[in-house]
Amino acid sequence: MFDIGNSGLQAAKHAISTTGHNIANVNTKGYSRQSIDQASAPPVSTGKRAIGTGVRIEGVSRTNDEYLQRRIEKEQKNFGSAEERHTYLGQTEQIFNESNSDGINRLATQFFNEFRKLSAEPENKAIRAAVREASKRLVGDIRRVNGELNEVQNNIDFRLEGYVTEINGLAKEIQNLNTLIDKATLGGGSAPDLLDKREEALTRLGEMVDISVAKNETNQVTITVGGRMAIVTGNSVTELEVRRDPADLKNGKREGLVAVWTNDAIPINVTKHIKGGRVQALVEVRDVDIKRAKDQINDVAYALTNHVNTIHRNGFGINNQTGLNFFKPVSDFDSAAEQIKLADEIETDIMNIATAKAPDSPGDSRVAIGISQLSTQTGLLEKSDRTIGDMYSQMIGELGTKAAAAERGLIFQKDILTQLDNFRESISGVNLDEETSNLVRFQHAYSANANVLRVADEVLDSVFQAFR
Amino acid sequence: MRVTENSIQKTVQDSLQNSRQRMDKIQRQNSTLKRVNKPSDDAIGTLKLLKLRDEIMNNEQYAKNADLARNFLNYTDATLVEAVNVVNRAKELTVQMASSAAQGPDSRAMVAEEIGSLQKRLLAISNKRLGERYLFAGYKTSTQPFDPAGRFYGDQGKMLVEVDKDVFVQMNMNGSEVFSGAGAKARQAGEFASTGDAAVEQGFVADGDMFQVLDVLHSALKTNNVRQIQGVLEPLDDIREHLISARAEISSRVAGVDATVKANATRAVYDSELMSKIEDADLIETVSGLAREETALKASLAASQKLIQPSLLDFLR
Repeated sequence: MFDIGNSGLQAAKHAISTTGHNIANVNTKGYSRQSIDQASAPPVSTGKRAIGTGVRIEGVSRTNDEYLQRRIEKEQKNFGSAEERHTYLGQTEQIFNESNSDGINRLATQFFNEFRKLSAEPENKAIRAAVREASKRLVGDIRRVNGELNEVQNNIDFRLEGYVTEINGLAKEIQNLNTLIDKATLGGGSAPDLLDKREEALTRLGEMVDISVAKNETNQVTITVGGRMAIVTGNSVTELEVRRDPADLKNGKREGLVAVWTNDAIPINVTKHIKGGRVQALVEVRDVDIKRAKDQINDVAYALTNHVNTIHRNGFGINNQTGLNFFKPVSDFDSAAEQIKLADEIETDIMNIATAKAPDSPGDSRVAIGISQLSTQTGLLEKSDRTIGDMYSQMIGELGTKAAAAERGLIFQKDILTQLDNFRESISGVNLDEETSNLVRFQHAYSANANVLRVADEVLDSVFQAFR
Repeated sequence: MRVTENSIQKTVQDSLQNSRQRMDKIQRQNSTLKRVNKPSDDAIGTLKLLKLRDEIMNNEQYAKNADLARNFLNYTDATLVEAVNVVNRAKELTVQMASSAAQGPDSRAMVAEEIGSLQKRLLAISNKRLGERYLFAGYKTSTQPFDPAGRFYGDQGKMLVEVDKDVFVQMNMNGSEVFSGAGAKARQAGEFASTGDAAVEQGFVADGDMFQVLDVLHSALKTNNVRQIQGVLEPLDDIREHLISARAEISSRVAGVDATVKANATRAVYDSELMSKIEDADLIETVSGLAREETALKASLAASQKLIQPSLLDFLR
C-alpha cells in the first residue's frame, strides 16, 4: 500500500513539474507542450485476484504534428523569400520614384525641351546656359540612379554574407542537437525539448535556403541544400562561405558580387542551385530585377551619349567650333550610366554647344532641332525598339508592377503562415487556463495520494495498537 | 480548435497591425493629396502619368516656341508694313515726277533728296533687329544683312521652330527674296549688278530689287531722266505686290501657329484633367476612409482588452 501511494505521489509530482515546465515555456518559440505518459503498474495476482500496484510513468511526450511542421517549414521559406523580395524591390522602386520629385524621366524631357527652346533662339546665352544646366542635372540623375542601384546590390550582398553566417551557425546547432538527441534517445529514451529545438532550427534554416531533410534510424537528420550539397550529415558539418571576384584595378573592374560556395576540399559554387528561401530571393532580386534596371539605365545613358554626340559633332557652335562631343564618350555599354558626363568643352564654354549645321550661322538651329528630335525617335536603344522616354517609363511601370506583386505576395504568405501558426498553436501551444486547471488537478491527486499514505500509516498504526 | 494565449495575442496583434497599415496608407494619401505615391501604388496609372507629364511638359515648350515664332512673325510683318509705306511714298513721288511737262529739274532734284532718305529708311528697315537678331539675315543673325548699296550678306537659312510634335513653322522671311526680289538668288554680295549696267540704263530694272529700283529712281531724278523715271513705275508696283504677298504668307503662318496653339491648349486641359483623375486622391473618400479605419481600430482595441484580460488564475483565489 505504501508503494502504491508512493507511485501516485511520484506521478503527481512529475505531472506537476511537467505542467510547470509547460507554463514556464508558454512564450518559447517552437515549444510543444508536453505531457506525462502514465499507465497502471502491472498487478500482482494472488490466486484468483489481481491487485493493482499503482501507477507507472512511461515517459514524457510532446504534442505535435509532424506534417504540420513540414508545411510550416515550407511556408516559412516562401514567406522569407517574399519578405526579401518586398524589401528590396521596394527599395529599388523608391530610387525611381518620380511622383513627387524630379527623376530621369522628367529631366530627360526637360533636356530635350531645352534643346527645343534653344532651336528657336540658338543665339540666346541664357538658353544655352539652361541647356547645360538641364544636361548636367540629367546626367547627374542617371549617375545617382545607377549609384543607388549599386548600393542596393551591395546591401543585398551584405545581407547574403550575414545569412551565410547564420546558415553555418544553424548547421552547427543542428549537428550539435543531432549528437545530443542521439545520446538522449539511446536505449529508447525521449528528448522532447531537444526535438523542439531542432525543429525550430530547421524551420529557421529552411527560411534561408531550400533544404531537404532526411532522418536516419538513430533519429539524426541529414540536410541537403539546393538538392545536392549536404551541409549537415549526422555529426559532421560542411560550411558555406561567400566569395566574390576580386577587383581588377588595372581594367577598372570593381569587386564582383557575392556568390555562395561550399567550404569543402573541392569547393562548389551553389549560388545557382539554391532554389528557395531568403538567399535565393536576394540573389534573384540582385541578378534579375536590379540587373535589368541597370541594363535599362545603361541603355539610356549609352544611347544619349552616342546619338547626341554624333549629331553634335557635325554641328557648329556660335564660335564656329565643330567636331566636339556633347557628352564625354563612354568606354562600354555596361559602364555608360556610371561614366556619363558632359564633355569638358561644353562644361567650360556654352558657346561650344553646337546648334548650326554650317559655320558662321548663329541663327541656324538645325543641329539643336536634330537633338531635340531624338526624344521622339525609336531605334536608338540597344535593347528596346521604343523611344528613350517610353522605354524608361515602361521600366518604371514594370518595377511598380513587380513591387506591387511582391507586396501582395508578402501579405498572402503572411496570412498563410499566421493560419498555420494558429494550427500549430492549437495543437502544440500552451494554454495557461488548461495548465492551471491541470495544476489544480495534479495538486488534488498529490494530496489524495498523500492521504493514501496517511491511511496506510494509520492502518498499520492501528495494527500496532492492537498488539500493545 | 484549441485556443492558446499566444494565438489570441497574435490575432490581436495582427488585426491591430493590419488596421494601422491601412490607416497609414490612407493617411499618406491624405497628406500628399495624391493617390499614387509610388509606382507600385498603381503601376499602369504611373505609366500613364509619366506619359501625360511628358506631354504636358512638351506642350508647355511648344506653346513657348509658338509664342516666340508668332512674335517674330508679327514683328516681321510690322517691318514689312513700313517697307510698303516706303514703296507707296516712292510710287507717289514717281507718279508726280513722271510727266515731263509738270515738273522741272529743280523739283526733281528736290524729290531725289526725299528718295535718298527713303533709301536710308529702307536700309534701316531691311536691317531691323528683334533683340539681337537681324530679321532678314537667314541663319547669319548676327551679321547685318544689307549694306547701303543693297548688297546681301545673309543666307537662305530657314529658321524653323517646332510648335507641336514634328510641326515646324518657319519664322523668318528670306531677306534677299523680300528686298531683292525673285531674281535675287544669283545676286549675292559680289555679283551685284551696278547702276552702270546697260539694262538699267535702258530703264529695265531687275525685277523686284527695291534697293536697285530706288537707286535707279534716285539717279534718274537727279539727272532728270524722265524716261527712266517712267520705267520705274511698273517695277514699283511689282515690288508692292511682292511685299503684300510676303505679308500674306506671314499671316497664313501666324494663322497656322494659332491653330496649333489652340489645339495644344485643348489637349493641355484634357491632359491635366486626366492626370488629376489618375494621380489625385479623392478627398471625400480618403477622409471617410480614415474615419472608417479609425472606428475599426478602436473596435479591435476594445475587443483585445476583453480577449487578453481574463484568465483562470483570476478566479482561483
